[in-house]
Amino acid sequence: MKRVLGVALGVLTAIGGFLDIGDLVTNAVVGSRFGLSLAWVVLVGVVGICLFAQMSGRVAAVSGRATFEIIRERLGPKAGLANLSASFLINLLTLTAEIGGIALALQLASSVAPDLWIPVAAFAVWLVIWRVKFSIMENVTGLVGLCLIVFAVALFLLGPDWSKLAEQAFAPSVPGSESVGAYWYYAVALFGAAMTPYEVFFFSSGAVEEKWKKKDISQSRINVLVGFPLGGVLSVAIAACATIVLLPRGIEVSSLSQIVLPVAEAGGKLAVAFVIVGIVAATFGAALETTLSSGYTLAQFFGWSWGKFRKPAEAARFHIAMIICLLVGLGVLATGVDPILVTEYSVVFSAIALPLTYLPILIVANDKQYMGDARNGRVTNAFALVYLVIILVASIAAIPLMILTGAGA
Amino acid sequence: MIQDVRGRTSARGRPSARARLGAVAVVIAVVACLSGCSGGAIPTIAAATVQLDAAVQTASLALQQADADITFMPVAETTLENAITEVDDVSTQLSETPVQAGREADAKREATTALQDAAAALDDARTTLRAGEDLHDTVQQLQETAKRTAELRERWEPSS
Repeated sequence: MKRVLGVALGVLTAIGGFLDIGDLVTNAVVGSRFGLSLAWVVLVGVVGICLFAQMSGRVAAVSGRATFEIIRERLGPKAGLANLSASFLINLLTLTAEIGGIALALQLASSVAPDLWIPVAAFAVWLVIWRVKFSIMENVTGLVGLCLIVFAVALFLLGPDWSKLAEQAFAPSVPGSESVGAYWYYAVALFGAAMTPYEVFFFSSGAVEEKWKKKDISQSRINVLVGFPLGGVLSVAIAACATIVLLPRGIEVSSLSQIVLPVAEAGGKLAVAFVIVGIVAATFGAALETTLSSGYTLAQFFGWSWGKFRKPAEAARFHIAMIICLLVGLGVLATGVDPILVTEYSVVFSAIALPLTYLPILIVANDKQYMGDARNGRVTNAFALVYLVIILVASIAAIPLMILTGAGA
Repeated sequence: MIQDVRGRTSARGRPSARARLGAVAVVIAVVACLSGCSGGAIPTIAAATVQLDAAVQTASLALQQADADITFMPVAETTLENAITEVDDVSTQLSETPVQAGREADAKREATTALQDAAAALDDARTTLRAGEDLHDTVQQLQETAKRTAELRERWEPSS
């Protein structure tokens, strides 16, 4: 019974923790401009993140060490540094976007300007990381993040023409008002949002924090293979709500407040309350994950003592690195840059950095010395190779598409 | 390319720095042209009308929801504030767009008038919302404005 509850909690946390500011914004933007014609990208992204997250979870469970530590040891400092640079910078950008996201969500609840919420949000993130146990932190934000299921409920309450939605999703085409370049730019952005590198590093470091062993691999697989796809369903629900309410009115999403409008239309104040709580939890949870991931990647590369399972005094450099990252994020937001713009760029730059993140994981997951019998099977490797090609294409196409379309304008 | 024993590329057989800079300049020029440097002011004005309409439609929907009591005041206020900021941005963008006499100047004048009307309507809506007064008339006024911006958008929206 305890095991079943553990699995259920893991799955629910994975669903609630799947969405972050990048998923929320990108799916809503795409729904409001392209309908469901890019829903297939969410499917491709979810399969990809499942593939690599279960791989890195397995590496951590079998070796007892986080993926990043092994990458540096196995591939050497140069390859490790390339991996670190790409992942860390994207992570920092995502962290900045998440802090901004918390502030924007709190503005929706209070009317208080986000500039005033930003330092409060950053302080709260630091305080939770400093004081709260890893498992409590992960479970609470993941479970409260489940409030975002309200998007799926709203979709049913809106009573859409299901056949029309299905046609958009299963026979995708570029809407007449949009260019082919913008369509593919947002395809890359959605893919980057679904496969954000920090999710994998957090997943593998979290496995070490929670002291996973080989026997926990099956539970980790269930968490990933059930939780993430259901999180993907929520992503599509966000896009579908925007498709039904915003697209016909010509409203192209450019702010967080617009994402809430379809939910209010469908379910009134109660639904709005749920969505605001859900967005705060999702962005706060992701801010915790990205802050920790910044500390994890740096500490694991430089060989510092790390982990929340240690007292802060025993992992001082790990904690200082996270504080510095939070201050950098605060500094960027203090310039007055729009957090939504930061989010949009963070998902596209994520796509650019994907090969540097995922190729090393694949190499390590195939290493007999670390993985023994638990190394990748043929089917996993076949899928992973297909994904490496997709990742490479997305990465190469991202910058030219960004320039050609004026960042999807 | 010629490689030495360590596998490094030697200077011989490698394009000169000037040639590489030239190639980069050509790529940048091509990309700049493809990304819309050509075509005069009309595409910019058309894009401004799309943005303007999206902002007004957003504000109109938020105010309808506030009037129907299906959303919270902070949500409606924030949405309206964001719409006002969007209209301000469009206004700045449009005022900085140089136009030639004739079709471009006419288009800019029409878009500027619509922008001013929309900005005034959004300002009124904000005042009414903040004062907690009845929103019915304001909602109707915004709907009228939204109708006009939608017509303007339809006329200028670029079809791909």
